[in-house]
Amino acid sequence: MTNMPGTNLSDMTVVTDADALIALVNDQDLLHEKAVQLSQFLLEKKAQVLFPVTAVMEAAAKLQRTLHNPEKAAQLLELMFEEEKYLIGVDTLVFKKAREFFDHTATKRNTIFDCVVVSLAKKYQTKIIFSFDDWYPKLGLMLVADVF
Amino acid sequence: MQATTVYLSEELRQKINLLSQASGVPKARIIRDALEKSIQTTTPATSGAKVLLKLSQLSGKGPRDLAQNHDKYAWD
Repeated sequence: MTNMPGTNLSDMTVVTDADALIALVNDQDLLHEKAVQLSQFLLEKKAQVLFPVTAVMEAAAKLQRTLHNPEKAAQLLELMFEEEKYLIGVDTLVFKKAREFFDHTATKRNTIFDCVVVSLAKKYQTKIIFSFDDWYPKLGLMLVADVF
Repeated sequence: MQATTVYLSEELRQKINLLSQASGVPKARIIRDALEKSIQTTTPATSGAKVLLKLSQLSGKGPRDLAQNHDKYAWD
């Protein structure tokens, strides 16, 4: 994998979405190996990886409902509390900005949680999202998998 | 300290005024504290990528298409 021209990842911030967290925790997931590979690359490049609290909550709720061992959802939360310096919150300004990206008529797949990820990317002045959702590039953002 | 001019939205300016009035803390200090906190948040000492790798060691067992179809599994 190589960086895109003009991309210096060590100066870059990456905002993580729930699907990437789910892919990492669920080791039977089709995207698990890819997610691990991309995580290793982000670590290697010292990218600043941030975790929206909403994405963490969304991932935990869905893992709780779908994993054979829902205790993994609690472990995800525990780990994120231990690493709270990487958590980013959602205030009313972020929430209001997210509403601008919310189109309930377009698709059921992209929810207000995804819009919050976009809003946070704007706030933290990055275009890179750690997700596998092809909705983000449609908004001018880049997926980690496409950057390298 | 050096003086710096910044443009604020009306909404943000009003929030700072309200917070200052309610707490008795000068507006300049509220702004300085918020900037300090924001800079600490945006520039962690180490990369959060190590957290991603820790997550991958939780070894959950679920559907193979869960990451792609998590909304369907959770809400349908």
